[in-house]
Amino acid sequence: MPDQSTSQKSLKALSPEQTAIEVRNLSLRFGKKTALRDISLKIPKHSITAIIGPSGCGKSTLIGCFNRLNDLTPDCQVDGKVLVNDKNIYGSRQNVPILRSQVGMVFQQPNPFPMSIYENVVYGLRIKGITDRRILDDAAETALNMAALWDEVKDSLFQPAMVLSGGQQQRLVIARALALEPEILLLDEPTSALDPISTLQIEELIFGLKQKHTVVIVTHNLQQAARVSDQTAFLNQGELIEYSKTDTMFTMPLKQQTEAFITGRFG
Amino acid sequence: MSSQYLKKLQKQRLRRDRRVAILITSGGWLVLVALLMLIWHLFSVSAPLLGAPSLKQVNSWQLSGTGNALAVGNNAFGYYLYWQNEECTSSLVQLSQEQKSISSQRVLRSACAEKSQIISLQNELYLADLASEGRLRVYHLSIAPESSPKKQLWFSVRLPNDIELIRYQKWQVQITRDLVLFTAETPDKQSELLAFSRTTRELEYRQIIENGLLSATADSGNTLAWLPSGILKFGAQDNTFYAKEFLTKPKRIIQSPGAKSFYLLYDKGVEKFTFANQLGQLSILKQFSLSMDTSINDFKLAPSGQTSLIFSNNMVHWLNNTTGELMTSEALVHGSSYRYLDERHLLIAHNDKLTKWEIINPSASITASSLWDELWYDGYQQPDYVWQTSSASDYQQPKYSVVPLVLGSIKASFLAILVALPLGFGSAVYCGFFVPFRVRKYLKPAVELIEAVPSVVIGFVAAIWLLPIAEKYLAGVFLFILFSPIALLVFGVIANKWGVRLKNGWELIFAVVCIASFLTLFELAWSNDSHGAHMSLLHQWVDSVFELHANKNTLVLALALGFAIVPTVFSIAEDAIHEVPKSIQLASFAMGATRVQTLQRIVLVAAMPGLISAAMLGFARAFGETMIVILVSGNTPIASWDLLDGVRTLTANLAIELPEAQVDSAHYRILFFTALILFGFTFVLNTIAELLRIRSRRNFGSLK
Amino acid sequence: MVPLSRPAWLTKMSGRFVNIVWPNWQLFFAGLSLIFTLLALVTLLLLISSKGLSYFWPKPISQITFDVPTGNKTVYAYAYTPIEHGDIEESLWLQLDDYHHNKQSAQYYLQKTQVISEEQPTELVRVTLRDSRFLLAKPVFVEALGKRLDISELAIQRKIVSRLQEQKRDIQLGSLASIHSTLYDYDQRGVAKDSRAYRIQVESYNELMNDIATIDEIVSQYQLHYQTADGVVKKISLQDIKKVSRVNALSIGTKIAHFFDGIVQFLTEDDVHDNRSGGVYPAIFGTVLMVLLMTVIVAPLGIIAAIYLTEYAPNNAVVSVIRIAVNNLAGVPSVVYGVFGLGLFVYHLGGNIDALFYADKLPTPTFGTPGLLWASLTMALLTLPVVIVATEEGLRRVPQNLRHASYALGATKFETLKKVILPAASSSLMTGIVLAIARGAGEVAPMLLVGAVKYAPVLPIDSDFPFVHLERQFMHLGVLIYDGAFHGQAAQPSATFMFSACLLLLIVVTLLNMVAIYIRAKLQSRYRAQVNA
Repeated sequence: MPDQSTSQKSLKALSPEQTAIEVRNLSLRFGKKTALRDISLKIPKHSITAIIGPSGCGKSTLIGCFNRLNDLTPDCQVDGKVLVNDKNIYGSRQNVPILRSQVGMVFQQPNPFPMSIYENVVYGLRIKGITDRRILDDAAETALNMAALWDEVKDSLFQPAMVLSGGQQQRLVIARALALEPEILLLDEPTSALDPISTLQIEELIFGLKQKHTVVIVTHNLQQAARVSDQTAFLNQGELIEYSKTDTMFTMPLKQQTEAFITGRFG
Repeated sequence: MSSQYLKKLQKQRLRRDRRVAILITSGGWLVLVALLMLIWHLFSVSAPLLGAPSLKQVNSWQLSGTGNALAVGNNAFGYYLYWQNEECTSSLVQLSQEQKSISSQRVLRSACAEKSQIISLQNELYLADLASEGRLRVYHLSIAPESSPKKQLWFSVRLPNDIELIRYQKWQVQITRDLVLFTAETPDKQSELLAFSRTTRELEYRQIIENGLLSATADSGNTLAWLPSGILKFGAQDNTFYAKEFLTKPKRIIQSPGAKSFYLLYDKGVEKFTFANQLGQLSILKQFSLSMDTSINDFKLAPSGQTSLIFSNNMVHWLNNTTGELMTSEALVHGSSYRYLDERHLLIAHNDKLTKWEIINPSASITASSLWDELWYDGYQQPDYVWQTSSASDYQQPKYSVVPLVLGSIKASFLAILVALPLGFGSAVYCGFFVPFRVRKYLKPAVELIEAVPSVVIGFVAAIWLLPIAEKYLAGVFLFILFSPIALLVFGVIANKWGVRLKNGWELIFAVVCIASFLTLFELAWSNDSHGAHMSLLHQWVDSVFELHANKNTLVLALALGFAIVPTVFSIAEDAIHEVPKSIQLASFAMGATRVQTLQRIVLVAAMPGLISAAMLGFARAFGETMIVILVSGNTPIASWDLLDGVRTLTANLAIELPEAQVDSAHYRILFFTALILFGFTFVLNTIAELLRIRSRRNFGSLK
Repeated sequence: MVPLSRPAWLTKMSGRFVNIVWPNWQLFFAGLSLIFTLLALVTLLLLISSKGLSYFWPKPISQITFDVPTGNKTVYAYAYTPIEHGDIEESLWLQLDDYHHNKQSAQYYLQKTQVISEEQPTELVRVTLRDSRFLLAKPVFVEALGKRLDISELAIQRKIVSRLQEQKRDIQLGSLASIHSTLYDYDQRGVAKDSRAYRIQVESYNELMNDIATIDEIVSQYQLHYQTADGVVKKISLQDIKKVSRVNALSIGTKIAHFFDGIVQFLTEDDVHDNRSGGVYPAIFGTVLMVLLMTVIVAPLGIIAAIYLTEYAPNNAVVSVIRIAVNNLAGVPSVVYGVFGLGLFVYHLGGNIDALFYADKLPTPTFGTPGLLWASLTMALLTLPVVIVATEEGLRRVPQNLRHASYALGATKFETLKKVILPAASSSLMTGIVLAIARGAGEVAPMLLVGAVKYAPVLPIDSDFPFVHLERQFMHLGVLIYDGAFHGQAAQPSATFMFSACLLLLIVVTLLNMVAIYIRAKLQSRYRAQVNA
């Protein structure tokens, strides 16, 4: 069995080519309230990283830093660096919309636009300026296939997206994000609003994504984290408590807090 | 898709985003500024009312020799001045059309031996001359700029032989519409007054008046003579004597342009009196009296009669002739004689300098007292609150008390609330609490449909159709409204006794049936019998009780205005009642309370802020309503709390008077001030109502 | 029964009696209020509809003989519902039968006892003249080119006359017009007046003028001879007659046709006689034009302001205050906006524009007086808060979720607005705009100050450049109604015309409101954003 510290060391020792996202001393304040405290970690490419922790610990805030969606909240102050593809996204020359098209996000509540299924999926591409119908069609089919939705909707692409069920809507939203072919996909509790069957479907989907994408998934469902992810980060009250390979984290947690959380004694 | 192209596209996107942001921000600010400008404009037009008038010198001329301006006249070439240099030399100074320069100064020589007096009447100059042999001559002066003034004998009469001219030192001549008045004062302070007819030159009137004074003739042709026992008014038609005991002899008596009032000028004070005619009883009533610290050098009445200038100790004071308030302005003005050129300009002479002054901000002579106090107006028996800004006669003292208007608005809104609150709240309670959902879906929009009816239509129907009916059936309608609830009560008892059970929503039908039957019964009891000659007993009795008090306009106004604001009250009250969380209602029912108990104890209490808010908004809406009030009420401004008097509201007043008001006049500014009152009042009410609503929502926000 | 919560004094006074009734008392009272309110509304609508529509229904002409001090008098007149003054019942009769005299119509208030006889002979006709006056008479015969013809020939003769008129018009507009232009052309080119070509033209011109004179002369020989109620026979040229209808002998079908014809006349004609009859076309035109102009101004500005307040403005105290201020401005009395419009727009801005651009026309004001532009601007300001509030509410209802989703896909703020937020809020937007339109069409108080007049001689839009004359005054339906009521000439019997105007205004406002509801429903179903369970 690999040593706990080895697992952590290996994560720390990732080279830039192997790292999808590197977080260096990231602190974040909303006004007076500190949400994240001095977080540093490296997320490897083509893997699934889970972020767990009790409610309000800053999980969503953390991934909100990866696509700078936190900018939308007023009074947001960020210190430290977040490097995507070795470039600090909080640097002055960052084009935020472009960043967001490269780092996709899926939210907890399925939020398809009030448009047709097709239009939902190609929304991101249209935004970018792509108007060629063939390209859009191809991209839509690919994305819907990746989201395991194609077979179900291929005959009703132009129906409004609202007619889909909850699980289907969530998969649609994933397809929408995938259509932009992002390198990194952020998932914020993607299945917590869904029933168990849909949850399983989506977990399978996520698992298949790691071939070509880096996935970061926030979840409060520990079993899901254990099932799906390669490495797990445990956050508590804005601080990164422990970050290591999933199997070692769940079988031999290093910190007492982690163990207490995993065994359900708090959170 | 080349990456070059995509990169350019991305830049374009960002640029467009920024440009749109600028456009929207500036557009947003533009709109907000426009709305704020509304408020600012109202303030800026009313603001000048706050300050005080002041004088500004605009021109000055040099004249030959020092002197006094005795009279100002107006001919085709502009204004001219009768200027007296010394005892024996006077000259006529003609000012150019725009009063920018002096175009001529002609000297009139007069013999020193002859004494003369200049009289100015209706822009014409007359010269009165008393020769030592006892002949009184009055010449009319016609002025043309390039030539000498022409003296034309206009009136000549020989004074009675018994008048010893040598003894008379001070004499005065005044001209009325058909008389020439002559008074002279003997060394022992006796005066004699002679009145000659202009046409026949006969002596019509002669009287020893002790210590009498003669006022200058007003444009109306009246002249007043002050006597210690009263005032003699030589009027256009007749002469009247108003008895009043005066204790001190004034220095001058000055008449108001409209001849309804006059001023007595003392060394250190001014008093204003009005003539009153009460059922044939003539009297003089004192309107106000003013006393000052320093002696008054001169007192000049403005041509309009609304303000006066008091010159004292080289300071200029403005007297508001209606309120009797003194406003002091800054300037130290040195002058020996002062003349009003027109309403906005003054001529002041000092030594050999003639200066022209402009009056800045004349509207500021309006004070808070003008607007809010009970003032004694000319011709009135006692102080009163009056709004009257125009009249048929030439000289009219404008009365600017906004009190009748404010009272009118409050009364009208109050009447409307009286009608709208029961109707609105009742309907809201029924609709929001008792009625099942599928009925409410139709009932609520049905009542709110009233809001869509333009108020001019409601006003029109009320004025054209309802008023005549009310005139005929006034007492009947009133009683019907009064007794319906009792009738319903009775029906309810009967229904209960017979064990009628009513399902949810069916009470409405039952109520309709009740009202219909009551209406029929009422009509039968009320109407005349078939011959039309004898009214039913009920009708007669009611007529005798109500005839004296009822005013159909008030009733119809209450109904129409109340009807118009019911949707406002209903909408908000209904929302408040409906939004009371179901959970606490269910809890109440679960504890065994009846519908009505839950309504009273839980729902109404919880919805109370919303209900108060609804009442306030209804009141505010009625306060701001214009068309219905104009069409239905009598539009007479009366300051009384009596609901049955006529009303004129602030809104109706604006709609009626503003189109006619002259821009930047005091009237105009005061109207804007009333608009400001309207704005402020509704704004405050709306804000409080909104805060109440937010609070009620917050209280129950967490519950579902 | 559970002890009830009534006040103690009531129990003491009424004891058991109240015990039975108390629970139902409030219910009944509440129901009563609702009934009263709805009843009042229904009565109002029925009243306006019935009186308004009755104006169009052809009224029979009566021949009435009544008693006057100088003897008996017979007139042809319209009867109106009797009025009661106290115990005396009076009827109003409205007569027009001699158009040679002034346009005023004669009114008779007769008491029942004065009336000797009242009939409705079928031969009586109502002749509507080309200048919209009308007269009531008994036709005797038709005179055509000196020959006496029976009344039944009237229609044919009128056709002949109208054909002749057409011929004349053809000449005028055709050959004569072309001669005019040719002559004008010649003058421009300096062709000599005694040249052959010129003279030919002049000859043709004279010939045509002769033709026209001939036609005129012929036409004038067609007359209708009619008899007034007092037996005097008068005549009137057929060319002055617009319509002849035998009102007392109409079948139901014809009556219905007249009914609709009357409605059309009402909507398309432009002359109002003493607020008693006529057409309200200019008022409709003016109202619609003003509302259109107002919408064009208020819609974009209101939406932009709302977008600014919701999406772009910083979230500080100043902006909150401004938001509250804007909300409250919706409750400010409309007459205050009129005051502002008069003071700032008409006198201040208008005066300055006049001084700068129209100084030669002074002291007659061009823009310094109430007119179309200022009225539209004032109404735009008045309805601005309504649009802003409605749009804001709609924007707020779009879930944050949706916004975030769009941003997360890399859209800029503008793109998110355009593609996601505005479509989702579109129904509220539409609601706001149409509420504004409905309010703009119905508010009269500001119009009294900044816009409409009782009678405007020309429409604000015509064929002279610049086609839309913003400085002109215009007529407004609401002002028309106000004028009719306030100046009291719409005495009760003849007020049906005014009721028709009220009905029209009601219909217009209702239509607009219904359009609002329809569009809102449509947009709601199309763009319904996700509703959280």
